[in-house]
Amino acid sequence: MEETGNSINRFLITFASFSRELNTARNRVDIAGAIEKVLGRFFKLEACLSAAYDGVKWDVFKKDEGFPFDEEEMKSFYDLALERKSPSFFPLETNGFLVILPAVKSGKLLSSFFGYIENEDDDEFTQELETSLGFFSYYSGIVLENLRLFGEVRESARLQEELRKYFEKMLNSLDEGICVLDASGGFVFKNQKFDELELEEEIIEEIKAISSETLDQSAGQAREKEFNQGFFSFNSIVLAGGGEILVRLEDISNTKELERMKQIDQMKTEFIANISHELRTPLSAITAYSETITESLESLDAETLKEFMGTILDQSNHLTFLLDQLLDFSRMERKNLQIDKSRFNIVALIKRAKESTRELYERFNTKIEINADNDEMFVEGDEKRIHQVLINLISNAIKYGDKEEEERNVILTVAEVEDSEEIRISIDDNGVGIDEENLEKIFEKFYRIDSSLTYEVEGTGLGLAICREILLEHGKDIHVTSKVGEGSHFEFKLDKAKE
Amino acid sequence: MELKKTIQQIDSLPSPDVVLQKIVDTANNPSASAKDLNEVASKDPGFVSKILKLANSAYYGLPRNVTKLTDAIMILGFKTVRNMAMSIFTNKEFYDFNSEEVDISEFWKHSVVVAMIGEVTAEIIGYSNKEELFMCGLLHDIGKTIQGVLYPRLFDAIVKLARAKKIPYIEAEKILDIPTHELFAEMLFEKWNFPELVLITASRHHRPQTIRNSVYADPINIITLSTFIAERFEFGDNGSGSPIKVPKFIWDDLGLTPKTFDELLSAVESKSDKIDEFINIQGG
Repeated sequence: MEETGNSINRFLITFASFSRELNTARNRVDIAGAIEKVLGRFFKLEACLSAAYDGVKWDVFKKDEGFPFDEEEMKSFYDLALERKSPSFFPLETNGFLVILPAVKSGKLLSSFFGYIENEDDDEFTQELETSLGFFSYYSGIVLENLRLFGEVRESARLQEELRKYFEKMLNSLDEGICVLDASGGFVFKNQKFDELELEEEIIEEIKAISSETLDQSAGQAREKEFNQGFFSFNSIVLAGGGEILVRLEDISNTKELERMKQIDQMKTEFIANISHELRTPLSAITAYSETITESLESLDAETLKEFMGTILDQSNHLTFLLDQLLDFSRMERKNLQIDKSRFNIVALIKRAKESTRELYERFNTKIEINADNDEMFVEGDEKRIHQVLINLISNAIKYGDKEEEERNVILTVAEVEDSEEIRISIDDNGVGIDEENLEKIFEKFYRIDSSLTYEVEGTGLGLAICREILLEHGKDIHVTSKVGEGSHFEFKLDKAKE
Repeated sequence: MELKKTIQQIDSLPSPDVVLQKIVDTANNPSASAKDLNEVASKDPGFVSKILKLANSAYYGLPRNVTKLTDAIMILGFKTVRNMAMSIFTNKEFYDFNSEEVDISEFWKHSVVVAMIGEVTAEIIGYSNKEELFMCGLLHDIGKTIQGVLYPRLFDAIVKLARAKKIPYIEAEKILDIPTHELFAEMLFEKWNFPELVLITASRHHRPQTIRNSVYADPINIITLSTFIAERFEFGDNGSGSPIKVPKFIWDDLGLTPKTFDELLSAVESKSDKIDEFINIQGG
């Protein structure tokens, strides 16, 4: 017998080596390799086998060639490992030993190592070795079980990752951009389409605003909005569990454009019906009066004749006006509206325009008032075209007057714009007004507020569109504010003429 | 009962014979080889044949018969062979007295069962020194046998009181105000100069809380729990009138969950079918 001190030393050294081997073990084959290595320092192992056996099926995960037993013969040895759950040196009937080192965890046999030793040597089998192997048995069991658990965790992580990818694939296949925002407005998720849209900053801000509203109201939001980048629809929902908002967005520019074209098509149809009516009215009057004159020239006195001829002239002028408008519109469509600029007195032009609409304002019993800083205010522009604009705006102001109003007023104001080289011309009325919905549309071509074919108010529906086009050609625009039942305010500016 | 007198009486108890003493010493020596252990045991051929009979019993489930002690040592290990030798000795010297209250073979069975449960519990909870637990279980009630050997009528009186009042054996000892079996065990193992682990589990298994923070916490908890299981499921008879109470901390300290406890009971049940040779250890 050796000294006890030496033995403890030897045991610790062996155990240290074994724990180092287990430290790098990644699977049960590595563990079997570690056991083989450590045991090989005590005995000459001829061949080894590492396996698990459930009583029906063998699961051999490491086996050396030349291992002397087949699986049938190994059954009784495995049963011994199962029964003892301790290391064992089994003397073989032929010669040598089978060292059995079961991996045990919580009283369960996970697998077992078997090593075949050909030459027996009783002296090597000490109590210290038995104790050491007992530890190896327990520790390899713990490591094996932990590796198995690790494998399970990894497998479940893999499945989760697969599931995540699957859902991501679904989300990426959608034609909609999808994103998820947290409570602070930070993006948590974006699908591929969302990234592909390469949204401008304004749209991103809109998404954040919708997200924040959704969170505040705890209710999904839906809206459509036009941006430089196009027309977008937004839908938001609070994600289950709260705190996060999912926003779907779609570029619906094409859909919107189609809608717009359909609307224009509709308006064109109405326009044709409308313009036919507009053209027929003066034409019918001209025809009727001409017929009367032709048939009853002898019986008409000079006064009546003059009146009839005046009507024919008025109606012819109106017809000319309508045809001019159509012509302008056609030019406008072909981007062929000619502007011929000159220096002229805008106040004088306004007075002329008022005079041109005399017949109309007298008929509608409307008072026209002109307020100007000076009698002479010179501007730069196409006099004929601006005249056209003024007549249009004044006519509208008269035509859309309020029947209920005791006194129908139209006020024309000309004033210098402070600190600017411009002159502002504004037309105010106390008419029926325009509701907000229609306010921007009135400048669209063919648009009439009463688009239904009631003909309550005559006109082509082109007037304001032409006005705006003329002013745009001057580098200016036309603005409107209005209140239903109170009246409207139109204004535009022109450059002061240089001295 | 005077303590002084008791101590004198203890002196009259048998000491482990030379062969057993050597077997225990050799099995505890890390440097001892199988050959060494075989040599010391072979001095008593009767011992060896009884050990081989146990080794070939259903309890160990060997795939074939072993005929040489060295083979038994190689297959079952030093400590298991030592445990068998200790069982043979203890049974012969301490479980041989007359009692009108307890069937001695059932009394012996209780010790074997606690030894077996101790070993199985160690396995289930992952305590690697399981063979030592077998020995601790086997010897945990040695104090009662001392009472039985030295004062058979006193032993019967304790059992009778415990049964009548339906209380554990140790409570009856306290009522009768006599030195407890824990104390008798402590005195015996001190006299024998036995390993401290065996002494502690035999002298503290009703007071595990007193050494909860010592190195012996796990073994004492396991033996206390094993005693409870044996009593509760009436494996053998230890002269008690009711099972001991298991302190709550033992479950936590051993990391036992309802699931592992259930596994433990199943393992105990299947092992308890295989202990016949241990009960009838002297053969014949």
